[in-house]
Amino acid sequence: MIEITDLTKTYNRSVHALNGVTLTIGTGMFGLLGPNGAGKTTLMRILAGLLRPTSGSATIFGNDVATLRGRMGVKALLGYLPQELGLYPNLNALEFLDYMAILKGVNDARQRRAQIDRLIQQVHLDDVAQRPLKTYSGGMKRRIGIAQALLGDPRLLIVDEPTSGLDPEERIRFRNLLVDMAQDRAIILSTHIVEDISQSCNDLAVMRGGRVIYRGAPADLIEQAKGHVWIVKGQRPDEQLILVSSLQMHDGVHYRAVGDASRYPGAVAAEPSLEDGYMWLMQDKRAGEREAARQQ
Amino acid sequence: MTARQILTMARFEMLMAFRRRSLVILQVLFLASILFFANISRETNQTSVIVLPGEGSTPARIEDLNTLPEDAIPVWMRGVDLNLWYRSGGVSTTLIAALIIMGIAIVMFTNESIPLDRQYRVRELLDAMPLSRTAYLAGKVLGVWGGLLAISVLAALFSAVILRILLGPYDLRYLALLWLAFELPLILLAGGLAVLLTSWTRTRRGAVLMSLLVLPIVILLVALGIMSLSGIGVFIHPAYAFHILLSPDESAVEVVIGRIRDALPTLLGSLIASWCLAYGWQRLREGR
Repeated sequence: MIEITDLTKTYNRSVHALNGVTLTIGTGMFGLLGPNGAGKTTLMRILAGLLRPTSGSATIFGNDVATLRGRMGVKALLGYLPQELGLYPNLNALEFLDYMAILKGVNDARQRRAQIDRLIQQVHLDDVAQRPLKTYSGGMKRRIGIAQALLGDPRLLIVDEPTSGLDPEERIRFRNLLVDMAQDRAIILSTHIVEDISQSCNDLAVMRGGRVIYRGAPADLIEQAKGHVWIVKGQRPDEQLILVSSLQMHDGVHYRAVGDASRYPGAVAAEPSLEDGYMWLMQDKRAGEREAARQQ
Repeated sequence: MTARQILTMARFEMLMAFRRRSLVILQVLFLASILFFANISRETNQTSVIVLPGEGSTPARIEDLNTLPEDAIPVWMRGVDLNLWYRSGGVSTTLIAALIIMGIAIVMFTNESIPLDRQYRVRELLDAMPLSRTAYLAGKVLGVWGGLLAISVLAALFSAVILRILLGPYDLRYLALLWLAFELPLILLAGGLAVLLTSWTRTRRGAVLMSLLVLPIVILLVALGIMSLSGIGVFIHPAYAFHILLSPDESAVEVVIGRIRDALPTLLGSLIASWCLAYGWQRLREGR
């Protein structure tokens, strides 16, 4: 169980990366969505014991990340895949995973070897496992990153943009792997790819400006956008609407937009997706912030 | 778990240093400098005429040393194979000169151990492991020391052979003692200082630039080490004091012990201070 209470992180006394985040995260898949600079990576780095919070508390399976002992306790339970993953170019995959496994405390050689072989197969790198990592493509490096995060059977898995650089098939495979693993552990998945969350998480938080602006099930976020998603044919929606997608069809361009498009002739209400729900939420918050600024 | 982690880090550091050719370059430099200076010693020995210390000594060629009358030899050198003793002087000259070259090379080629973790962006992964700052630094330093130890063993064997070929017979005990108690400690000192004092840089280039600043300090410390430790041959026989320009009498042992006693706090202190600096930097970084 992860308990986060009124967590703040301020850089250089002026940049508020986190601003009073309170969350409770249980076992299972937990999605973290938000625009760039929302504070997702800062939150995950604090939870991973890489950063100290400025104030507030975060307790992970009884380990308080504000203390050194607590951070070391968290790291012993943790599998972590950072957004900017680096590897040692002169090692091959087997050596790299062996190194990481020992640092994680997987000391039994036979157990370690079995884990590494299984993970190499799961990320489909068995054919190239002996090759130096410097010869790997971006997607292959990402898969090695995923494998190292899963070493040691961690109780908490924090993955930051895990599927960026993966081809669609690998992305789906990795999502399924995470869901399979989530039955008896907590997995925090931060991503810009809304589809990854909609396909794998039943619990999510949306962050913006260092705050949590939504917490709940994806279905509820989708529900909020109901009646606000439209397909507009032929005419490009103006800036009052958020254009989600545009698709060239045989009868012209179909624009998918969030907002009130009833004034457009031929506009048809559409079933919202999680992406629409997210866009609606962002628009709603932006409008709220504008209103608050005007009142001040 | 910590000891296992440290040894694993050291093992992989050695492997990676070998694969990125740092150790290979150091090894080649080491062997080349030994060969170069051994050759200079050979030429010096061939042309030298030696005057033994003490009153009444007359110039003699090296090959004639063992045939000198007893009264032409100082009391403290009687009973010593003077030919072997003099050739052994080439051993210390070669190792001292090679050590200065190696001190520079070690600083320039072992500084990248910690900065490369950041340059390769592996540091964040390592920071997320249950690995203490002490274990991380110890693993890095031991990794560099392990690599230097490996190339030193090879260099010692090489020097034993090459000096025998170029100088002729010499005192093997003297060579072994110089390697164990003089060359190796100072090589490890230079390596440890290079790793720790460049640990806060973020890239290989930064580490090289930092090394240029660190280099004079390391060379000064190595020079201090040379002055204090190179006389350890006196523990085999006081006659070996002559090779470091000390009077080869009974006071030589005391003089050398005094030099070692005076220098050790500075040498060990510099290593400990560097460790504290590197540790403090790690802590500061983590606190951000």
